Amino acid sequence: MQVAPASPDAPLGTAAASETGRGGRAWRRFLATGVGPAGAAAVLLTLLMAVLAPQIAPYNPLTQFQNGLHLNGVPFAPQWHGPFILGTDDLGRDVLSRIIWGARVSMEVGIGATAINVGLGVLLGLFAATSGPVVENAVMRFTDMMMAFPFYLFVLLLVAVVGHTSTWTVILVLGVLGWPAIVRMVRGQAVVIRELDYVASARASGATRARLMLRHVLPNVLPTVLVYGSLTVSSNIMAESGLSFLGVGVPVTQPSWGGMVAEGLVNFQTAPWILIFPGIALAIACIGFNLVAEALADVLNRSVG
Amino acid sequence: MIRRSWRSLAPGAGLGVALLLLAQSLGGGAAASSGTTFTMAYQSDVPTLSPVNGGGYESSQASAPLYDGLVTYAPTLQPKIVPDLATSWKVEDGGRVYVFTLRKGVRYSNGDAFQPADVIYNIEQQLIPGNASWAESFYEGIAGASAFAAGKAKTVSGLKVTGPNTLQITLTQPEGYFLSILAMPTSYIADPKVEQKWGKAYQDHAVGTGPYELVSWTHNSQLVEKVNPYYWGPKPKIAEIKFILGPSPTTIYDMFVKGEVDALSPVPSNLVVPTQNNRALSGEFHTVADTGSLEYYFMDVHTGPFKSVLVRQAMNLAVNRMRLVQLQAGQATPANQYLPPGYPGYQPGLPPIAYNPAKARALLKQAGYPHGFSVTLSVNNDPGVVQRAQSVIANLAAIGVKVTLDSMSLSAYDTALSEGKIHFGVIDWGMDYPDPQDIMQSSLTGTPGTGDMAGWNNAKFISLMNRADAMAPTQDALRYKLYDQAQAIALAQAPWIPLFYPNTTILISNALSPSPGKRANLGYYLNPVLPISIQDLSMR
Repeated sequence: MQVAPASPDAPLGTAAASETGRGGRAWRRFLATGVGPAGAAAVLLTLLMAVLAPQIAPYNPLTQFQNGLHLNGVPFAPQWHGPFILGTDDLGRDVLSRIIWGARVSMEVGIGATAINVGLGVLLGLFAATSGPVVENAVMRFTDMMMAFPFYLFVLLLVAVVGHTSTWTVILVLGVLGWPAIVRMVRGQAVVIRELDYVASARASGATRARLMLRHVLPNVLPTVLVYGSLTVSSNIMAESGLSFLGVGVPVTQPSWGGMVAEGLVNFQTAPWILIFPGIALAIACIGFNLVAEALADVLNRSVG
Repeated sequence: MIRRSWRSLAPGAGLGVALLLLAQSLGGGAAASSGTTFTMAYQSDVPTLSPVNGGGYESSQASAPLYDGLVTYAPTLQPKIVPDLATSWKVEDGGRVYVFTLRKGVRYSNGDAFQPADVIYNIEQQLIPGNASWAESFYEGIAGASAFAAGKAKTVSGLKVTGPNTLQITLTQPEGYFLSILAMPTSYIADPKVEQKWGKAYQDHAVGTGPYELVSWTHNSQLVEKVNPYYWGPKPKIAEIKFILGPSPTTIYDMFVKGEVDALSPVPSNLVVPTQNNRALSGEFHTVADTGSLEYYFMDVHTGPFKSVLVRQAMNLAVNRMRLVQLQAGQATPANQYLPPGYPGYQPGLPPIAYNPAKARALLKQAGYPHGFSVTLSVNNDPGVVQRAQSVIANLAAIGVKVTLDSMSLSAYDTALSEGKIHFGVIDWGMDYPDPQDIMQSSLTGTPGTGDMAGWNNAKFISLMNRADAMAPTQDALRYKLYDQAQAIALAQAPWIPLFYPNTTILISNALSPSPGKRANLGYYLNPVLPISIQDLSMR
């Protein structure tokens, strides 16, 4: 199912967000999509876990419980009635608490990196679209080059340069590397919008580039940016977990779903739950954001088209 | 010696399990070997095939089939020195002079003839400063070695060829363990012509007089050896040895289960219990304690809070060693001294090091750190090492010491260690030779570059060590008492946090072991300093 325009350069439609009608109608349409509410629920759950971690986690995620392991070192399996509902990991830490606290890292990185992606991407895309052909070409070719570069290689390189990693370095790294797709999409839409009658007349009557960008182009691009943003959060969450899995994400002492997956893989034969539950958490979070994106695309396309 | 990674077996130190073939080995040189291949796998590339800087676990296991030394160990439980390239020897002048009669007609695997002078060349390689061999100190007991190493002499005066196949080695003072040093992987004899031809690239063209020769080495992928046609001894039954390089420990375990790997050691901690519970595997699993191995953290006594002995003692009291044993499925013993069991001179009567966080906090306060301090712990990225580090970090957090974990690849860690860049790090020690002098001299005197990672130089300790070292082997009882006193000083000054003495765990294929119910015509023997002796194996 198509979640966004077939190609970033395809035309969006003829109407702007301001013409969707009242917010109430859009909301009802969102609810009617079915996947929308489901996705939103998953996103909300993840956000709540992240925000309310200190309150809802049963234990400190870093505590290595003396009685958190069997005598022979094997972790405890999940037990609904036991002290550790989702079991413990190979250091005797509560898996449920770590999943809840791990949501923080995923949300911080997912949303933080996306904010940078979107900010950079929109700025650059609008800049390109409102510049002369030479500058526009230069920017777009540079963007193409960045897109072609193998992602993980680039990340590992950057991390090697930066040295020690922390949540902030991960956000920065993912933020700085993720803008190309958004630039292409924004610029593609902006190119169409700038040819619209009212925009062309604004330009003709001497509107500055900044005014053009902010007053006319940006509002029309925003709906699609919203959809893309939601998708990007999902892919940044996955990217962070990939980095943590490789050992170049957040420090090993901080609970993160990717780090838990890495630990779980090593212990799969004795304690498969260490791998399964963070995997489920990642899936729920990412699917949630993807479904929201899908629903948004439906709503916005329909109201726009 | 310092094992580069936590692998407790063999080479240069640690435990090896070898299978003795009864009927076939007695017959010696029976039917030609079939196309049998003995396969092992390692997480990282073999660091080196050169005797210089050899001695690490992977290096020794891969080098042992290629080389001989003057002497080697018999495959018996108690380490016993037996002839190898030297057929016999005389010890004269109260233990200062060794005269070796060398085997005649020995050829390297490329056909070159072995000469007594080759031994001299190889020992010199250990002493040349440019080669930066960690084992240099082991050979400095040879007369003239220090002068040679300092560039003041062109040859080592204590090494002399005294006949067409005799070699004389003179020491500055008697060393009861000198033959054990000659049995170490760093004393293997490589073909000098090949070493001179290839220089730093020698190890990709390694040539020795051993039962196997190097066929190919694709770094980080595969290393293959096959039977050496020129070998002077009984022809091995196993035609080919293959080392697969790069899979993770869990993958290697899976490979063993599938039969793609014939032996693996150690068994990853988290897989010990499933192995013991698995009927198909439990018969192939063996574990041995008291193998002269120790995992410890060293603290650079010249940096920051570690300058204070109170802080170092506090660090020792803060660690829950029983927990580390539990994390290894009980396959270890908590450490209470620096000399591990398995070494003569180990003191069984010493009390355990207490786990007392309250006292640790009090000591920190007394030392002037009531709120603790921050420090970075560097480790290699072996999963077991990282896991245990996290446990220790939690212990230290409880007394206010905030630790940042810096984990890196094995080779990066080794390099950083040898450059003295690590101030708080992990060392996995395995026995080089069965004498207390082995670990105490090399790791508690000298500089970080030569093995004293903590940079601890205590005059009283050094003088006790020197007195003990100068005593003849006949005075061992008295000598060990001196080492006891020296160790007491070390324990009080606490440059290390000794953690535990790991067992050696090994999985070895039934194709290489006696099948149950059959009259045992294969036996297991354990030797703390030999790698798996593949030349003695045969496969069903």
